[in-house]
Amino acid sequence: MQDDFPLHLDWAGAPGLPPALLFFAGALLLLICRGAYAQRLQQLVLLATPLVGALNLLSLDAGISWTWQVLDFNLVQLRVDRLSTLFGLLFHLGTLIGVIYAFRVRDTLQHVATLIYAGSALGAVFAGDLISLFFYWEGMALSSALLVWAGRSSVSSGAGLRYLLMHLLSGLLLLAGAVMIYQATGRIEFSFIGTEGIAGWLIMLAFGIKCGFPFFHSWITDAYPQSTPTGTVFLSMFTTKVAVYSLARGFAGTEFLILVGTVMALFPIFYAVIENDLRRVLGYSMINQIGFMVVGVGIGTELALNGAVAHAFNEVLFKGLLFMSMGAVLLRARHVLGSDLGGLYKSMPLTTIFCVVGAASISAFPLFNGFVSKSMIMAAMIEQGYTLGWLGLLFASAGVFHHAGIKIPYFAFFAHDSGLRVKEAPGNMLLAMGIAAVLCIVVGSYPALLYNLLPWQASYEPYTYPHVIVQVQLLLFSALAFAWLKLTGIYPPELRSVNLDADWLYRRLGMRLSTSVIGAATAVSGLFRRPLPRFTQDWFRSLLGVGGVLTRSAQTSTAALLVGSLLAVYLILYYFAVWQGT
Amino acid sequence: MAAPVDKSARDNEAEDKLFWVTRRGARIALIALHVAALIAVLIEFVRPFPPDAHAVERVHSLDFLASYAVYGFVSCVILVLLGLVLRRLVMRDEDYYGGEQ
Repeated sequence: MQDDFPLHLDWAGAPGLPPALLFFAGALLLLICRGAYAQRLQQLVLLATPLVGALNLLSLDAGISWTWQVLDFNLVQLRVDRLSTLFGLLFHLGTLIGVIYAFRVRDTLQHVATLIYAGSALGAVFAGDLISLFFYWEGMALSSALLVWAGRSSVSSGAGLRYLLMHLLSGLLLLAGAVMIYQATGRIEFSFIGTEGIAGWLIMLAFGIKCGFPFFHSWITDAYPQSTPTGTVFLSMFTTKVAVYSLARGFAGTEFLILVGTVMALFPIFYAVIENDLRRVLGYSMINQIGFMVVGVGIGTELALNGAVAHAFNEVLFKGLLFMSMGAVLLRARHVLGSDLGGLYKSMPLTTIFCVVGAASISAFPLFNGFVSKSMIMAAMIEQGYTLGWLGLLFASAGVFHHAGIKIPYFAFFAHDSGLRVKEAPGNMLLAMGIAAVLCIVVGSYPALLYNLLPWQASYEPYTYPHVIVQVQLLLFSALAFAWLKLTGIYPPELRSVNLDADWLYRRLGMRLSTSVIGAATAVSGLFRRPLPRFTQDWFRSLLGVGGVLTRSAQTSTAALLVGSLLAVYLILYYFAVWQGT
Repeated sequence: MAAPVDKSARDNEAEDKLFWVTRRGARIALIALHVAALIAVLIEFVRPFPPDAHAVERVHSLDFLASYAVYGFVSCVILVLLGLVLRRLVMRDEDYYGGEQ
């Protein structure tokens, strides 16, 4: 991996702070903003934090610094290389776009949680050891759960709790793996981990939960639709991307991830076709896109890893843009149910345009950013001979266009006229969407801008004649299939419903099982509440009653003998334990 | 508070509903889509891919004219049909989880 970041600023007086510190300081400042100008001050802090943070970030020199000695551990707060700096830049950019989008929100809780969340994400990507990573991991879990709860409804309350439990499980697995690695090697450095031991599998599962591995993905589709219009935008930017970063750092080239990633890319597209809540459709779409990244990490070649990282970068832009457009619809229409929307392009023309740009980007249309990153992963897959997996990803690519490229804009802004007459999104939201849309097009049209920032050296040319033509064919004929299925009435209508997913295992099956277990435990405990038989009562009284064996005063010599005997037993056990150990 | 709904507009346009808000819009969108799709295939027919194209564009199983067009179309049809099957299996009433959704 190359070390020097191309956008590095040579600034002699640079403080060289860990980026997380600036964001945590920003969160503290938000809390002390009081008085008549509190909102203005908060807005200033929100905008200044990512801007000042970006200056600090780009002035960081490659290498390790800010090492804290805690007990026997060297906790590295700042490991700067191209991989961490690229993700750092991405998170600063995402935060800036997000705070512009949320500029008019009057909710200190959300703003504080946002900066702590972004700061924790930054802390995680710059952490050089597993213990620090664990603390930032948990920081992300707690602060992002606050963003889910910011929905302030009974639904968001339940979803936030389930979300938090899943992420705490991820943290627990990470900590367990870290402890096992420390016991085995005496090191806690966060570098390549691999899957040779149980610790590696535990940590990969910890990362996988945050990535949305199959059966651990439901927290995305459960919680993201329940946050506020602005909260979901931030949620979509950090957690899963930190997980992809962690996989790229710790498990590059792990073949098992190719299988997992392919499954992740495939199964959500079927759910997305039948889902009615358009923000939940985007949740499924997010799992699908992360699947591509996980495949890239699993392949592990320089081209594949660059593709995975580049796609993570682009996904923050286009998925953020799509979540922002749906957030604007939610703000104005009060819901994002495909069954009850339609025709909003008349009321929200600019939001429609931005949504279409996001849809074209995620679908990997030429000149949009998805085209230049997704194809890197696909090309690497073919180069390594995974033809069957590649066909699966190609199927998933067509499916992405179907649900995210067509379904989202179609059911929200076109389809039939729902009769909804709403105002266009507020100016700050339009500005944020505009910035993201322009970046999607600029990166897609001039991919060298992004390619030059990528961590590994691998050349790839996306704009070749055959590549453009096959991609256009794939997408246009997918659109044609949608149109014909719609015209013939085969396409499933949008219906108000719940689709059972993996969360059914703990929301329904787990609930029933736990109810049964509690019922059985109650019955068993009832047995113990009955009076004990007479002889048992006498025995307990002789043992524990007044003047009983264990309650009466003993002579000092008796006590010394007892303690001596215990010590002897302990020494014998210890001897055998050590002997066994050697 | 629910967003304002223009019922008269909805009623007036009820007859016009088809595919793309209005019948005229649907027609234009459909024609444009078919023309674009046809052009995308004709281009490959007129100028086949060079032999030194990247392996991605020359995967053996898809090395025939308009192969990606066929794959995209068939994929989406399969996707929707399997989606219909999935809906039968997993769709439940809106208040399945106690009305949480």
